[in-house]
Amino acid sequence: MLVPGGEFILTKVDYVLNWGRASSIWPLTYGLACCAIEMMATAASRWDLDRFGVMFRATPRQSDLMIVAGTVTRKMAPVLRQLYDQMPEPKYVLAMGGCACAGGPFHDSYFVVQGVDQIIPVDIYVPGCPPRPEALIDGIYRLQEKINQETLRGRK
Amino acid sequence: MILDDLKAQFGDEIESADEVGRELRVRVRAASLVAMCRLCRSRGYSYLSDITAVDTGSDMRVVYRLVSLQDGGHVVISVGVPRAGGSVPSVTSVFRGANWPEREVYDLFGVRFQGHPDLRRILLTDDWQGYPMLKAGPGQPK
Repeated sequence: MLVPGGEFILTKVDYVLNWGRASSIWPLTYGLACCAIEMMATAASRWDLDRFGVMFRATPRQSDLMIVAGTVTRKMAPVLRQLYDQMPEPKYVLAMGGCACAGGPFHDSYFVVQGVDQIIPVDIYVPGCPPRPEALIDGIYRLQEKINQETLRGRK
Repeated sequence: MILDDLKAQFGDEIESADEVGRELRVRVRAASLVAMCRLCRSRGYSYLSDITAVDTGSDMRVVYRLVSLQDGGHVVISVGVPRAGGSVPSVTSVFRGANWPEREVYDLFGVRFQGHPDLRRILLTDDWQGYPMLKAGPGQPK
């Protein structure tokens, strides 16, 4: 290290930044199909995503996470890409449900994108058709774990 | 009864007519389609529930489902259309709500609607080649 004790300082900065980011994941309000109904249920009082600091934002400019909840058609694909590009770094993507993960029941369909990872990089895959709210919460836990592994010395 | 009125008005233009329960199924020549829709509308069948098409592989028909909101009866009108590049008259002059359903049939089956104000693809991307609901297959993007 160039600075004595630099390793220790960076680790502490990482810890604080990651704690803040992982505890206030703001997803984009963005639903595409039936998975969005489960996502809404997860956000509502019964499962209550608010207790994890997860609050849905109505604009990509204020969002950290894009939950791709549903079937992505070829016509929707450029719109999804544009929304992703409008989100500021650091940003994460959670593919919710079989459709967003790999096409799901629309496997080999002529107009359904076979997994949203063909358009944007995906951090967490949550399979299910649709996944139960518990599964989505588990996906968000795992995203928090991933965020907590990050360091200033280089993301990715 | 609406069937008697239709027979009196259109005669030989009607290819077949069957009553199944509260549903009247009429096959008519394309030339009389718009006039028949207008007559049905004036007799209470004023709600155009849906427009779709059927491709059997050998022939194709465009199907119009009209509903009477007074008594709940249905009139199903269908017209034959050539499978390759066929066209039928648009009924948007009778039902303004036919605009998008006709675009959908054009998009998925390739049927052209003469007199439609804005006949563009509605569900698929503009660069799509082919018509997915035909027996020939879904086609692909350019």
